[in-house]
Amino acid sequence: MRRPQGSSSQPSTFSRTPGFRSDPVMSDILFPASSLLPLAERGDGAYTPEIHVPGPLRPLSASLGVVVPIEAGKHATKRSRVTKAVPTEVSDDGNVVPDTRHEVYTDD
Amino acid sequence: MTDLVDVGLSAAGTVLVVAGADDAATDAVIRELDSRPVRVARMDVGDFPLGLTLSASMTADGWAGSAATAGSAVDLAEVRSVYYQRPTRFSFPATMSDGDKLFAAAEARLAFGGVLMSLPVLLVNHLGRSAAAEYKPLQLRTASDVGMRVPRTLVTNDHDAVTDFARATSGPVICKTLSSLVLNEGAGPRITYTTPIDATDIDPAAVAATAHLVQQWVPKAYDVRVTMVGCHCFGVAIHANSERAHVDWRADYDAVAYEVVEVPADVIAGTSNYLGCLGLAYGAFDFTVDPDGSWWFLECNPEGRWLWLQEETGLPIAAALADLLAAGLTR
Repeated sequence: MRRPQGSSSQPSTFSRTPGFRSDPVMSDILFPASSLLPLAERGDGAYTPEIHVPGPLRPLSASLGVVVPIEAGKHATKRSRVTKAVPTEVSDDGNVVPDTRHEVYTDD
Repeated sequence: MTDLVDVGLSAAGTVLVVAGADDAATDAVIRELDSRPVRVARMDVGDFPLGLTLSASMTADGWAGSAATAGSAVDLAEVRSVYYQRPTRFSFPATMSDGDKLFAAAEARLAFGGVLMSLPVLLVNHLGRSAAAEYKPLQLRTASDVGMRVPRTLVTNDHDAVTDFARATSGPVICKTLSSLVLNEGAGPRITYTTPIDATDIDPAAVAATAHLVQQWVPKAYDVRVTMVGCHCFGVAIHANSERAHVDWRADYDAVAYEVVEVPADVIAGTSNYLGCLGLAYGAFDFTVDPDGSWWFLECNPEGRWLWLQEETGLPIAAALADLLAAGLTR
């Protein structure tokens, strides 16, 4: 069964690829250090969608978003959105175990 | 683990490819480079530090040293060009804490980025310039500066400014994102495409919540993706066959048709000057062509994809990239 992208089969206290949240200790917020060396996630893509629950207030532009079928799309390498199973590791008790999560990428 | 893959040897120097291991566009470029008299070395910084070692020392001639895997190495002094195509994030031992991984990633990023950007060779694209070129307000200003036609645009978190802008604009206005962030709320990825808005019917607090890019809707005959590889220009018209695709072709790929088109000389000049202004060697430009035939610059992605257009149209974009990299012009 396909899990929502960014999800894990186990509760996760960390992920080996933490995604776009990863710059809390970086420099200038208007020119984040991550931008100095653009990096994708394993399996391509520019960021990792993180599951979240919107609050009562959300930016207009975020509210205009539409749900895109995971299998839809046509270009990134060849298609614009691609879902990949990404090897990762999780640990909720100090024991690191291998895991897989599904990530969706777009690069229009 | 990837590979620092050697593909051919020659005295002509090395094209260093820094990309994810499964990037099909990169594969296509390397296949083209195979027939050119250069050595190709491919690596993914995502293999650092577990499977990739960087050792560079500052000399009077610049940075010297190597990037090496267990089986291969590239001498930085022999690099004649760099193709930087979305390498993956660094991978650190699982025994490191989250905090130490952040620290290590920052160190690695600035080390690799600094060394790569210091190489006195062509970078496609230069990392720092590519990052700067992601900023849409800078894109629009640069496009305007080089003489391209740009839609009236407002960037604001002020609802009154949006309503004033809409009132002063003859015709509809649209909202588009400044970034490419994808949200995931469980039902699938949520992507904000270009969306028409009614300024009188939006929540002021939602506008105030962050910056928004509001733009004049340009009446559209069709869209064009112009892929610039150095001075080579590849124009592909994107014809929409659905309302969603008409507003934003990314929203309905099944309803678009592609056609190779001739790009007007003034647009070629504009895109070339745009790349020059921002110090880029490559750019994926999006234009709208209005019913009068005028070309309107919408945006330029310095890392925009191109392989699907090559496959749809047969345009030799990979070959052009290979030619550019093999020439290895000093930036």
